Amino acid sequence: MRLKIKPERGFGKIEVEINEDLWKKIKDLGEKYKVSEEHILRIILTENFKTPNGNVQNLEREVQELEKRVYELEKKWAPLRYKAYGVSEDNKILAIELSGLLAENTQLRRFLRKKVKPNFELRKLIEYYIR
Amino acid sequence: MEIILPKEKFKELKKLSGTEIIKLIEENLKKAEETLKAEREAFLNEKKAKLEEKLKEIEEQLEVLERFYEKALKDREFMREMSEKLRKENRALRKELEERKRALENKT
Repeated sequence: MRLKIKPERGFGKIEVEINEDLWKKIKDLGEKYKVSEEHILRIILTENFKTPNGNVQNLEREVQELEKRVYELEKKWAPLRYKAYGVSEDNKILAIELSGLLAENTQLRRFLRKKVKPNFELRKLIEYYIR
Repeated sequence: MEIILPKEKFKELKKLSGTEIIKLIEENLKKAEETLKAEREAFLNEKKAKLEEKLKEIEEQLEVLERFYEKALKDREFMREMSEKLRKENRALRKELEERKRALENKT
């Protein structure tokens, strides 16, 4: 593999031939870490080296575990949301029905000169689901 | 393959022969691998932080949803009972009203 090195600004170039053996090592490294050969050569030629702080394998495992947990919760979330929506819609219809029944009850009691029973808890519930 | 380098770095390399550049690449492959590990580590740390935040958010939302669902089920039961009770009561009240009307009509 022929490698051409050029400056960002200005003229000139360096050309070197990378033998097959070395090129294979660079390629293998690139495949292992899913980066381009160009990226590896740039690190080396700019001498921009870094060292990891901890155990990368452990970190990989931790991230995998977290991904699994997020996936499990998302799987749980979707059907529960669907069920909750269904019950909420049922309650909305029930609230509308109850609102009519309560109005009828109040009217009948007034006609019959009976005491109207205020049901605050039920009225609050009706308001909540109709809204 | 072409690599563009900062001018200063290029100048340094220009002083070396082709063999020396190949040697430099060969000798630094291990350091490059460590650098790739460090880059992967930084990427994973960022991903981990995002996942932890997402997990916390989902857990909180799920808790709220579960509470809402349980309450909605209880409310549905209560409203069904109340609906049945009111239907019966209204039926009885309507009957009572009809009877009173009839009694009034009979009087007149």
